[in-house]
Amino acid sequence: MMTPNELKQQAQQRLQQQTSLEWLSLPAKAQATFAELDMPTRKTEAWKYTPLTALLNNTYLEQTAEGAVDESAAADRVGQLGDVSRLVFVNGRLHPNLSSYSDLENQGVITLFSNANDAQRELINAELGTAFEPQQHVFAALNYGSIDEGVLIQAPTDFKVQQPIQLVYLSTSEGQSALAQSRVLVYGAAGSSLELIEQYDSLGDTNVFHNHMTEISLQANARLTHMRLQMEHESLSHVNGLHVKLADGSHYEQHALAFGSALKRNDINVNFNGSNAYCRLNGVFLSKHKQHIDNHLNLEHGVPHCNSDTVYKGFITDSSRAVFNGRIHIHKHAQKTEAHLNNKNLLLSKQAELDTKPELEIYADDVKCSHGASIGKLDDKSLFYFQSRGIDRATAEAMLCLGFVNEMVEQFPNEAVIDLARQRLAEFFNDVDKLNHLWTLE
Amino acid sequence: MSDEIESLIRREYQAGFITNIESETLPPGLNEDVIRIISGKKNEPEWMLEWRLEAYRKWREMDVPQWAHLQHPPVDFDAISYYSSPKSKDDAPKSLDEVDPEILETFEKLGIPLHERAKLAGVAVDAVFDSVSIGTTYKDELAKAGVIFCSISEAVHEHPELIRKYLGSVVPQQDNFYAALNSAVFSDGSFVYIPKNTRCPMELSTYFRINELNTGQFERTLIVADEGSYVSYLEGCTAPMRDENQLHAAVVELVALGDAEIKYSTVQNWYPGDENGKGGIYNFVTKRGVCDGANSKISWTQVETGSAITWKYPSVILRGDNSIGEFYSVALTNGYQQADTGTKMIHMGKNTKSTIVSKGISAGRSQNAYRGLVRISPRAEGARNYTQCDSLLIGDQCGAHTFPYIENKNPDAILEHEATTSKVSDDQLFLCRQRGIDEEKAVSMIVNGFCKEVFKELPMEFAVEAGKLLEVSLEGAVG
Repeated sequence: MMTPNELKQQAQQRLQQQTSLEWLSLPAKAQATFAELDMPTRKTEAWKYTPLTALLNNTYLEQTAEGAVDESAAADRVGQLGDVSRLVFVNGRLHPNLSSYSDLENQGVITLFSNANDAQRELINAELGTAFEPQQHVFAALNYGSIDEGVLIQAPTDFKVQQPIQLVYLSTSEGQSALAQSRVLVYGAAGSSLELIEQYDSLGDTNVFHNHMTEISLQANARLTHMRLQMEHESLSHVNGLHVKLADGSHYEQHALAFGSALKRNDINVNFNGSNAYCRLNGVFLSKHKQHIDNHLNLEHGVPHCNSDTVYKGFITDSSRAVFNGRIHIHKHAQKTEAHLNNKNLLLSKQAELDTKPELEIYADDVKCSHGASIGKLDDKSLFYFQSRGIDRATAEAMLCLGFVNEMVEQFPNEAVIDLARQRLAEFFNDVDKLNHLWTLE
Repeated sequence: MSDEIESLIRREYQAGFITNIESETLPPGLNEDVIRIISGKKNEPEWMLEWRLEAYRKWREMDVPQWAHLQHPPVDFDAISYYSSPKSKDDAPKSLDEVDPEILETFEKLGIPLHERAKLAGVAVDAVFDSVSIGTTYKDELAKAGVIFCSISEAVHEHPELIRKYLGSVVPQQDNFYAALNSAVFSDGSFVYIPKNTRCPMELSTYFRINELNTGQFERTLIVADEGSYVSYLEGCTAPMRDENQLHAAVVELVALGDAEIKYSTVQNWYPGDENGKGGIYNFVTKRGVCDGANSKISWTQVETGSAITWKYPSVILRGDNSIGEFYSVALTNGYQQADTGTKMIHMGKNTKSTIVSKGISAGRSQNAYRGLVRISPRAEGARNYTQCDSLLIGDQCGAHTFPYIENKNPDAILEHEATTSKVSDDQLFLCRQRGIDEEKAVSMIVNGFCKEVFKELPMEFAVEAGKLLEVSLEGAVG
């Protein structure tokens, strides 16, 4: 096992490799930031409950990820959402055969960094890396320190993108350890509207460390509906940054479904930069076996008259561990803010652990803020109710668990995504050790 | 009672403690010699000195905690004097009637004159002036019940077996930076022992007061409730105007054995600094209780309105099955005050229950944070926690923060945490003013209503005082 410091040194050597995108200004800055920062340990407040063991036990950084992919298996994995513009990345690299997005590419909505024209390069340089505090995200620095490719999704002024855009990140490594890095910049110009689906998936047992960044900048009155499905194999490690900037009157909605894995960490950062903006963060996370999942949410209310609603639900069983941290930060001048956050959890096993910390940091008086967190078990009365009507206990338990999770899943604003999520949930529940009996979704 | 004060003071004399100046204070700075002097002055046995030195050595290796949501210049621990005795015996009050008029005035303002309080039936007063306990009342009555209520220095001599068994058993010497410092240099404090199956015949009470400029205060309180006993303990504090920051690092340890119950109430009203944020007390306190036996209960109630800096987390370790921990808190900050306060509930036994109700009020340019931990260990079957943290903001220059840590390792536990933040609503104010109540009075009414849930947990006399205290503390916060 490496020490965090050894991991950092290895990563730094990797960062010194040249990027092919010499017009990008960010990598040099990010490399400098990375050099300054320490890898998180148990004493790092934001990583208090999430050890990097999975990363330290592997040699992710020594190899580059190439690898062939079984195209028909991959097509099955990614092709269930019907009519969408699709980009498929295998271990962080675009796979053209599996992708189909030429319409939006021709309209200039989807552009690879390597194909960016001057205006787009300028936009990328101006926007990338600006939606978060670099000093607080060491993995973002690692990602941005070595950008060789990326995706720019740019909705022009008042442009309503009809089809959802589906980004699929497939991990496949056939047991070999590999590092996959990817990044997306979404720029919604004034009055534009977009629907984005990010699907993180894998083919078989995979030993990949996926380090991903999504940055979103919404201009005045722009809208983005963002669905995120993290459904990879449990052997993988995944650190994910989602950083959002909201201008006047913009509207951002995120719906997430996330399964645990060897290490899974989501950092979500939403910055309210213009008044009357709205943000909804909905999420449900599930962990079983020895999985680990950590969601860190941070809402920075920097201006008056913005609202946010956050609901995250957790399902934790077997020997897994889940961590939730939700922070609402109301800055001094952010009067008339209404911000609510709730984290509800179902803890089902004696070996499992949940650590949750909803935080409020408030510097303005004319605001309405609340947060709540609860941890509970299956309700005995509800179980009794089922049983008294002839439903056996196992089925009753399964139905209650599903009901708990489904409350979030059915809020996904896309029927095809709901179907996909339910199908994968059924697979997930099928081998929960504790619920390995009957599990049907019908 | 004055006889007892006399005898106590005389004993100090016997220890070679003679002084002509108003008070005797050691020169600033801390080293092993200072600890030997402190221990020597108190004529402590060798084991006590060793215990202090051990704590000091551990303290030397520790760092000042930085995680709290507080900003203050670093404390220069070498600029503090670690011991000061009370004013010479000629000046020392021989009874509570002779107490410094300043302190009386404060109580007058609060509507409860001290002399009246002392007479209040059922209240014993162990007044701590600076660092040495100078008076204990109602000893006889307590003695009849078998209750031991004395200064901790006295207890070291007279009940060494209890002190050796319990001192540091809840807050170990190296527990944290300030607790280690306290363990090394603690000057005095109270010791309470309630024997088995005894209900303490009266509410026990101690008044603390910081008297000397530049003198760290290092009280140490230890309360042991033996099986089946009950005690209610009141701690109240006031300090006169001072210009320089004063450090206060107290440690309070509570031990509740099987079926015992301890109720610990605090009203803290130390000098918060002037209107520019200058001066005021730095209050770094470690308070912890352990519910050691089955069916035991510890309840903390605190009303915190004073101090420039408050760093305080009264906690309960719920070790016994079916034990109960409670924390009721009102923390009010005004001016430039900063508070980072809350509680820890560590559930270890089966069917343990904890309730946390925290009300934070921020006004002026103050910062008020609730920081709490609820931890459920794997064998705490059926554990239950309910937490409610409400914050009220008055004015747009202040801050209110909530940092609750919830760690659960047991699927059979049920935990709930809720927090809200709001301001005194214009509607509420309008309603009051429409009925002829001026704005300041109206705000104080609304704040009192906001805190009612906590106030009702206070002993009656304290509840009255607490309400008045909020009013006084909120002066100038509105309009």
